[in-house]
Amino acid sequence: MRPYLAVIHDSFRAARSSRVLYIVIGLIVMILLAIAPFHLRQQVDWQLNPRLHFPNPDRLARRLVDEGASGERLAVARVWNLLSPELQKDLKDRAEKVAEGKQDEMMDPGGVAPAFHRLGNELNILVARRDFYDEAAFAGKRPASEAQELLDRGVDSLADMEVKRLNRILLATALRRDIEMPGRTQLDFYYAAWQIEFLTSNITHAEFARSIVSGLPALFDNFVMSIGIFIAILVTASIIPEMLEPGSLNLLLSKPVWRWALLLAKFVGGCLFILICATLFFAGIWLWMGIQLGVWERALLLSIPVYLLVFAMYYSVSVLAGIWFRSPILSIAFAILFWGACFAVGFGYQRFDSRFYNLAPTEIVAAGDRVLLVDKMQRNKGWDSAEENWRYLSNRPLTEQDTGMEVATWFGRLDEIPDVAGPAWVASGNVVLAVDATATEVLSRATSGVLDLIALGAANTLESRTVGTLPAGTVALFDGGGSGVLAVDRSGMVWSRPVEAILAPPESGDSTDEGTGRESTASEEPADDSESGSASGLKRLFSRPTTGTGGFQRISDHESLNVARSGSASLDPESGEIALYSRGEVVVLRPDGEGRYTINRQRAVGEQENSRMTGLVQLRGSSLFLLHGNGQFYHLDSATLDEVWTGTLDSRVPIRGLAASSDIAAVTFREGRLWLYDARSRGELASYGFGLQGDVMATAFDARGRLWIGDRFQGARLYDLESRERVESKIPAADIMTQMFRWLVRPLYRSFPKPGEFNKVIARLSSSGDTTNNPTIDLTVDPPPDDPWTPLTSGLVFMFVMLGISCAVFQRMDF
Amino acid sequence: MIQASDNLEKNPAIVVENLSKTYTDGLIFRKKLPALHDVSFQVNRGEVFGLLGPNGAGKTTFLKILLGIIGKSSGNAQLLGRSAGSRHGRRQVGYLPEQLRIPRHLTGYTALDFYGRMNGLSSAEVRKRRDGMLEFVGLTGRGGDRISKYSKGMLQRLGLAQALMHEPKLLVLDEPTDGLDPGARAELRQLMQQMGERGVTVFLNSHLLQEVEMVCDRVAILHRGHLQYCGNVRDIGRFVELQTREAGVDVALDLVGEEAAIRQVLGEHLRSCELAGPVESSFEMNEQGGAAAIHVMARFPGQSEVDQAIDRLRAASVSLLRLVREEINLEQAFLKIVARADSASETGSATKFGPKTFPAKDLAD
Repeated sequence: MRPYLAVIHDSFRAARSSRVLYIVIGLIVMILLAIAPFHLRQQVDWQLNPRLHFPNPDRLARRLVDEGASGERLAVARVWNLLSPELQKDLKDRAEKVAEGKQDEMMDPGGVAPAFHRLGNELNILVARRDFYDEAAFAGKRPASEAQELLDRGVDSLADMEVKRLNRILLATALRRDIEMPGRTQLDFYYAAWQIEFLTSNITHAEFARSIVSGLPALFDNFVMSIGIFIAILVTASIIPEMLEPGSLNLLLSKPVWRWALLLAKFVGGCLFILICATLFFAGIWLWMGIQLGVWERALLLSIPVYLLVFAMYYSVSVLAGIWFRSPILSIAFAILFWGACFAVGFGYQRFDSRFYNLAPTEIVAAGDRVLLVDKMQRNKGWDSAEENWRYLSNRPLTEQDTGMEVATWFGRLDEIPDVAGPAWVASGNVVLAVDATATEVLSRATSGVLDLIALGAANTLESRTVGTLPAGTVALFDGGGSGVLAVDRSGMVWSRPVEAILAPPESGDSTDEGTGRESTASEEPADDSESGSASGLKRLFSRPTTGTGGFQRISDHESLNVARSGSASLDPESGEIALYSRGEVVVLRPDGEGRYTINRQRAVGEQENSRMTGLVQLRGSSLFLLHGNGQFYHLDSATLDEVWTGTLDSRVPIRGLAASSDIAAVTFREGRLWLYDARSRGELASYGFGLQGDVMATAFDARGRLWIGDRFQGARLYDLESRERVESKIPAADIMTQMFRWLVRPLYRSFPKPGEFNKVIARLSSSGDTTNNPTIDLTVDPPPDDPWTPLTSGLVFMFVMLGISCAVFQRMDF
Repeated sequence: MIQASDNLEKNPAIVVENLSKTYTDGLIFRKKLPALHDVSFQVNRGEVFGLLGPNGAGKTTFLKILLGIIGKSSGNAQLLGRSAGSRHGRRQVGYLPEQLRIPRHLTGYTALDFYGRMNGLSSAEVRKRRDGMLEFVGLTGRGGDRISKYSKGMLQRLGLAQALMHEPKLLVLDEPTDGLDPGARAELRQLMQQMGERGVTVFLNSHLLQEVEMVCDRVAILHRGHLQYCGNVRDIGRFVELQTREAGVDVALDLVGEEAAIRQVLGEHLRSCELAGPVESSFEMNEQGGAAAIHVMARFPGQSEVDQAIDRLRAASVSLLRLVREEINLEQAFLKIVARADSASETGSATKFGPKTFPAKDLAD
């Protein structure tokens, strides 16, 4: 070991005496010195000033005495009980005198009575107390989001200033109207003594910290991973070629050392050289962010080993080129070529992946003997037997926006396009009813919320015609058998229209008259508020219903529910019952003798910490399956709603869909995995290897309990789960794009290192990555950072392979 | 196997048997470049051995194979009883490469520390030995200086110090006097002899034939990858004579006497020796008090003919002032061997010339 340690030690000596090191360190220090004076000051408004914050002091005194002393309101009582007995007495006296009309005598020259000055002082002391917040006392209150956020973090973990801010807001919440809310927190940014006014913003420090942390991966990707790595490669490229100079190498190789270990020691030495620089840079930034910005983000420190690994990947290429060509210039050139190759492979894969994801079925519908697909663009596709391919079924002319959207399919997963209701196979009419809308229409019609309904041919034809509209805010569409076509809107109301009426030729003024006669509360219901963040903005827009019933009649009159998405409603074709998932509860609606739906039973399922959790339901016979957005799966007894079986399928991968027959439930995940549950054996259905894992995008059961699987490449296959045989396939001939993706781009991407994806690792390692393990997180709304271990493992494997080749070449080469 | 030398040990420092090396060049159309061909000899422990050869003879290739820097194509090579190139073998070797390049960021001390630790010494051991070693190679007080301030000669001395640092049993020196001034060369020669006296085997690769002649016990001559000679330095003349079939005794004589008598005696005698091949002689005459002082260079077939000629000169009252037997030196022998090898290879008879045609017993007498 001694010789190899000597080589590593020599690398330090070389680094120390190298001008390059000092130049790089000098640059880093200059950057750190340049940003060091940049800091922020948080203006936290928490102090109470009786003159400013007590709009009506006497009314405040009265409330404290009446509501607090009596214990009528717990939050006010909490404040009252923490006041000193003397002040309580004074306030009582004051209240009595005010009641007697003697309050003017008590005024001070500033217009505020002395008692209120004392009240202000005591309240200012009170808001500094960590034990002020009492969960029971504030149970009925809905504090502002800022306070809620602080409460979520836990009072014990808050800084003193944050406790004051929290208590100040709680105080204003408890005594709304009589104590003014504090001003918003303001962040002022300074460079040394100079304030940078245009940066001043009304955000809390926590919000600022969050935005900084969320921006770190991008910073890492754009700056450190490009310029930083390039500089590092430039600096270290000459190490190996220098070692290979004859007078130097012959002497080294004559020593009693293993050649491969000598090379590895040199490699480690080069990495240590970079480690010094990286540590200085990241630790410096970490300290600056902690001291000057108050954001102590561990991801910065963890970036050091990640950066080192990325560098080591490139450096391993540089080392191999250095051994082969013994030229620093060629070492650098090959490292850059490698970077270009990685970028090209990653870029190409992302484009293809986006395209196939957006064209992949989000829904597959078994329609009698036929099958239909709906893709992410919400386009309905029917199988054209003559062409052996899927054909779009639409009466909509394509607009420029649609063309633009088509281009956009290459550049990102269009998850913001919401799923629309349907399609529904209406057996009695031998027709599929579906929403006919292009992706742009789905998005742009957000203001109306009314979407056209089309009938997709009869029998085996692929004809389609527009037959009307759906009630505003419809999320699900079912074949209700004798009840006609059923639509469920966002408030959980059930609407019905006979299929004959839907299919009848339109008469003039038909739909508009009915459209205005809506009496439902559904349209007035607030849109689902489960989503947050910009990604769901379009969903919220879309979900804002206005008017229009499309000729449907409302056949339920229960309390308003919140049915967020089409998968949150399910009709059991046998019993006619409808299961809904609303705010953490499963609600089963049952039709009465007149066909009107009423709530029959309901039950909260799972942890109640996040009532906005996405829930997908399927009601089939005696089983009710529920899949939560956090990956929790429930099998309930449909009659009693008791849990039969429950389990967490995956706590990190967002769910995609749920389909069920009376015996089997099929769960699909966003990354294309399928999981099957057997209700009879109450456990995972064993050995269902379809060979499609990773590409399964949608599932549906046909009337005979067979499973349709729609894959990433728009193939549809029907499986008999009993015999485990494929019964039918509708697989379009692979076009050149599909073949390129399957046989070239994807295998290349999987086997190639992914240096461009190390931002995922940083995102995962950052404090914001912690939340994804929290069962209250809805993964469909807040998808976790992509799997960070793939780039890490592929990078490590690549580095070891390159080093192995380098060692083998070095070992066998004649010098 | 070639054993063109006497006193071969049973436990030699270096043994090579039929060692061959062929380089290949080019990625697709691989071109073969033979560098060594069936080289066999051995080096005894404790001797100072020289490897000679013109540029491109394969000397450096031979050294690199011994040290494991390159691999052999075929044959066998052993170093101190272990396979050449093995780490254990190299542990006991001190090596001073040709055109030594020590990283410029090092000082004398840190270079010794680096190379000493590469040889398995601890830093403490290096610190203990380094001043003595620098004194030994004549760099006292320069240990703290940066390598960038060292002259070529100082670098060579430092290279020698690192080679000796771990007290090796075999010292391999590749052109060690390159860049050294005459004084330093003399010191180095002295050092090599000291090493030999201490029992350290010195393997010297040099093209400075006079130095090799002065310090080496035995030499090997390589030419175009073929071993042309391996044996004692003092025997190389006879070897050449035998190889070139120019056997005879070259004698320089300073005589005083009647010119006619001298011419008669030598003339008769030389005429009688024609069987020995071409006979060369020259006369230089000076007047010296009535008698002529004559300097004669002559080649006799053998020593007995020389003795007979002396007897007859003395009988003819010719005074013998000086008699010197002229012997072929290493440089002459080397040049003859190389020239002969070149001409033999041109005529395609390389195999007829070389150590294999030179039986050891001829020289052992």
